[in-house]
Amino acid sequence: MTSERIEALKKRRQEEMKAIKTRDQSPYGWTLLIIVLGIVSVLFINQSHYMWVFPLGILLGFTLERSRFCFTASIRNPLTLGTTKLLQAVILALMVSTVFFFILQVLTLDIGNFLISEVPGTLRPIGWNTVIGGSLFGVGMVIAGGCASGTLVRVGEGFTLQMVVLMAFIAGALLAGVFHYSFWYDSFIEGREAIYLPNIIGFIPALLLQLTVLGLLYAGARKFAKRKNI
Amino acid sequence: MKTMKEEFLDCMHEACPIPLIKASKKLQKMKAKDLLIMKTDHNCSITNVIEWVDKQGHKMDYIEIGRGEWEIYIEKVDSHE
Repeated sequence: MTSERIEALKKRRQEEMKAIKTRDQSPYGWTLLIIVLGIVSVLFINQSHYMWVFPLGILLGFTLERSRFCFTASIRNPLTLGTTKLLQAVILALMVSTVFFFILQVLTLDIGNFLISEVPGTLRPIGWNTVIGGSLFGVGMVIAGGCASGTLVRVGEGFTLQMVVLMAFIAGALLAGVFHYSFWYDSFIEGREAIYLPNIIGFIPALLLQLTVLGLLYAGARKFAKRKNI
Repeated sequence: MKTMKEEFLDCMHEACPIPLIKASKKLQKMKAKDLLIMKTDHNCSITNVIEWVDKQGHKMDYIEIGRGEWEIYIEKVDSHE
């Protein structure tokens, strides 16, 4: 909510800013757009499925930037500020993707006769490795001020601090995810089966269970924001 | 009108939640009806500030004053009024 004095201040600052000349940045935008279109047409000629993935990724990044969406803030803000709007948004997004992944999986799988490796999406066995890895990642993203998507979006915006984060991020991903991946896979994942709920309780109950849990979390987050005041 | 003060807070190059923590500390020291001007180049901290300020009941608005630089204006509202 704004006030008269804030409006007056806004007008004054805008007048002051008019005096300062800023350089037109739209040529950079057009150049980038042409490069993107060039890449897409090369992918089109090669009949690669990245032809769809690449523009989709760009649109996703655009949406993240414009909406100022931040996964880090969604997890951090409830504890540091007592605000849960972003957390609620993330839970809603999970509910929507639950429904669509349900439709996708039911349509692609031969129900009653499929392997877990055939399920669309990445299913991995859970265990203490999930908890420890998640906690490490959580601490890291709060200190760095962004998770994977958030860091990329902010580097794209020109936020200099996070360029350092991006470099460390690439180094870590290369080290653990590429060079030493087999070590992590053999020590923590190998030999265990991923849990796929529809295999245990059926497709419809699994969908309803997941939506119920997410719905409860959503309600809990709303209540938490009302009660907590920092 | 005579007693109203304008405070300026430079939050350039700082990632969230630092701008908001700085603002909350500054607001505590300010009197009701004082104005706080925050300058930031961190897009996401705007969302955080809006939600937090709304919850606290202060008045606020923001504009983009340069390329990727924003100013957030907060008018402190006395919670005991």
